[in-house]
Amino acid sequence: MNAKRADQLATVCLYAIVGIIVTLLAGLLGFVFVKGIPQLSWQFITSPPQIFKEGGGVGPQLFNSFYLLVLTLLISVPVAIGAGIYLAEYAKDNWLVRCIRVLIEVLSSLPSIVVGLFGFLFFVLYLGWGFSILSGALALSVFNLPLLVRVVEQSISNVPKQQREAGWALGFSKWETITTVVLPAALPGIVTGVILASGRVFGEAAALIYTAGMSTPAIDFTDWNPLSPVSPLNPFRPAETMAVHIWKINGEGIMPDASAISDGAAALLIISILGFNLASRFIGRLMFKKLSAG
Amino acid sequence: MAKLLKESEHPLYRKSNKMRMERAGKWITFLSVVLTAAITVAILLLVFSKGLSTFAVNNGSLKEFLTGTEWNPGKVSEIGKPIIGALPFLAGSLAVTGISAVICAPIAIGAAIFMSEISQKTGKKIMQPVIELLVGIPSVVYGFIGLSVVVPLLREVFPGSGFGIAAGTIVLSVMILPTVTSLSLDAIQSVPRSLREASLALGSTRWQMIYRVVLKTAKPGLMMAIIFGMARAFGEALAVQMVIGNAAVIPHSLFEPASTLTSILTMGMGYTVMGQVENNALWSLALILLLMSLFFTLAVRIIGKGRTVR
Amino acid sequence: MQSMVLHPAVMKTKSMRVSEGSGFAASSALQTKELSVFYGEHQAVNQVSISFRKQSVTALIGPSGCGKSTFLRALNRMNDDIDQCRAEGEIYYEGIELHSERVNLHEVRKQIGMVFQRPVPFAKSIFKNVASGPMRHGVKKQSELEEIVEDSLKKAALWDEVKDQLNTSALRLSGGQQQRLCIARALAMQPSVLLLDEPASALDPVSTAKIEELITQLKADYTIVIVTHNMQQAARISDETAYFYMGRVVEHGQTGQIFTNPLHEQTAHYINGRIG
Repeated sequence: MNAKRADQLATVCLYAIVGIIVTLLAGLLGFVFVKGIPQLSWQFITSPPQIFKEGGGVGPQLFNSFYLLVLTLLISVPVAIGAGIYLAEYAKDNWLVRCIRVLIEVLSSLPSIVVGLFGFLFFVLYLGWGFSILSGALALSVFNLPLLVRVVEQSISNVPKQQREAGWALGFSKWETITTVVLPAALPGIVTGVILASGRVFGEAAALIYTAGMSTPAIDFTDWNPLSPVSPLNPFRPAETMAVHIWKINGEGIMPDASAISDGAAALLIISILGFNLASRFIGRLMFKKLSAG
Repeated sequence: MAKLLKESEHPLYRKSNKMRMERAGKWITFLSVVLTAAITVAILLLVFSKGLSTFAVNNGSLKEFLTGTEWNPGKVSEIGKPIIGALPFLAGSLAVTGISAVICAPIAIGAAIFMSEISQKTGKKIMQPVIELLVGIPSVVYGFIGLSVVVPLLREVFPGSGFGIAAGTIVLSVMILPTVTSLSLDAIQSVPRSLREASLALGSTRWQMIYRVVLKTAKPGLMMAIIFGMARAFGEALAVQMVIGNAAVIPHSLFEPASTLTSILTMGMGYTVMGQVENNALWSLALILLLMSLFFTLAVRIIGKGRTVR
Repeated sequence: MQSMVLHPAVMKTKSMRVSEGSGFAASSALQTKELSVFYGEHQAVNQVSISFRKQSVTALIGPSGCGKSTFLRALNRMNDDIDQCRAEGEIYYEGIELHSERVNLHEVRKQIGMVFQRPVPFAKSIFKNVASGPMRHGVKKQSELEEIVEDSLKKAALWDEVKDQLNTSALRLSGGQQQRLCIARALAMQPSVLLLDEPASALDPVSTAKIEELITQLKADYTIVIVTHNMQQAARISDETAYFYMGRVVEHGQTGQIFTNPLHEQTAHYINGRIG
């Protein structure tokens, strides 16, 4: 086979690979949407699941997913911003900082099930919080932190050095320069990264099955006092999320319409994550525009 | 108010709260970093101490753990040691990881070559969003699709229930494909343009240029991409657990039910009591998982270092 | 605490009195004594002693890498924030040695403003760009801030161009406008010395002319030190010129004298090489 033929053959193969991948995505999304979207109804999205009969929904699970996400972001974003600022602005290249960087890298590469087991051992058992939203949110924060730290550090490092000097030259302290000049300039990047990470958190299940638990007690959506045991906001109640729900009913679901429910739930999950994807692009672009033209 | 100032109070001597804020800010951010690192240390310590207690407290045999094929930690063998043969899980994990890397690597690298060398326009316009969407799909959804599509399909074509290493491998290959593709793309794109032009100027065809110059130069980066993918596959729990069948034996074929470290952890942790042998044995599996993840991280670092030095 | 609420203008009249008492040459705003700057092992500035007259423009000229920019950045201790960089020797501002431990670094930079080669507006509105300095230094009242912003923009000859769009992003301005905004931002701190590091080198000729005109206007109120590569510019706008070579000041004197009748052959070579 001569070189020219090999070249043509390789090109054909590469096109075939691209075809396979595009078909794969189309097939995956097609499957989820074709089977799932017909299941979606207002009733499905809002009503609680049924254990033995058909017609259950995923209302509490959907709420739990968002509630856990919000709590996770509330915990992990401030810590990540602090850590990202330190690594980008203050950290010198010494053994301690190198050590810390390695540890953060290790954390980001840990399987999420290991993070979940840590949460189980530490938050659920040792601190005695049981299977609860709080345990789940903290486990998800641990899972989310290393990625966010990297996002923040990178966005901050992308701000030109001259911006910092301009701040210093006005008699700002380094800290003031960071908070009033650098951070606002890095904000579009940070927000985009946080929203993208939210999609990952939203779909995570392995870190949650042993922290937030696999059940949702009866909750009363009219009771918004976080201390009440039936309140959806109560941080010490177990909370099964959408992703965990899909996993659970596929393993042990005994309701007759289990497969229809997981179809619907999967579609809902994917739609939410597509939403995060689009939002991150849109909001990132909007913020950038506002900064540069507003 | 100026009258209240002493003569020596030149504005340059003024104390401002800037230094105090500076110190406070530096400390707070430092503590955030330390917190992140401390969490990692806590996880490592906990998993190590829990995982080692099977051997230290419950008198388990490490050799048995790594080579035994019977898993029944609640019972003791004739010589009075818990039966903790974890080889089936280890073999299962290694099999799904290895095979899915073999399936995924050529496709991912091919896609990356296409995006960088064949058609950058299609690459950017179509492939980039496709890859981003695939990255975003949660692993339970991959598992769910595996369960409702791949497993029945395998059941039709091959003897057996459809659950097994083959199903796990297919699900994992698709799952790690986008990650490996985008990392491979980074590696290929970091090959300097001049090398490509030099090769083409010498009369190579495009494929010869890709094969001899681009892939060769990008090799460490491509290895890193594949190892990253393997690390993800090895640590993935739910998607695999849903399709692998969860039988604690070494299967005779790829189409028989098997187990991985993660699947047995997922299944078992809720049914054991903290502190007992059954539970500690599971933590030993978690320790293996952790050690493998450290190994993958280390491998990536070593290859990465070799790359930057060159 | 009382000092926190003082308006900078009040502080300045105060400081003048202090300097008179210190027996320091009243005509000089800033003076260095054997100032050296090191980057690690490399000595970028070598024992420079020079004095900058009040309300005059001093141009620092010399070939690339001669240390003039490093020297300029040492004057408001900008180099403090660069790792591996350290300064030796003394800098006197109104009789106070700036490296002294009691001196507040942030106050130094407030009194000695700086404008860089490339315009670096913050990604904020025009108003906030100018107001952020005074705000950070304790001016809280909106009316006072508005006054300072208007005053500074007027001094920087930018007010008429931007007065109707104070709340739009500074990044929308042209390069020349951005640079004048940066000058306004420095002026808003009510400094007495302005350090300009090749402020027009990144700008087109029309914008450059505007900046030069601005500098000649500003010297009535400020002591200006400008680093420039452009000989004509130095000749046009400066009262005094210092020629730097290899980290040392070769010659310092009246601009007219330096350009027409330099004492050192080397200075003549440099100036002629550039002009001729």
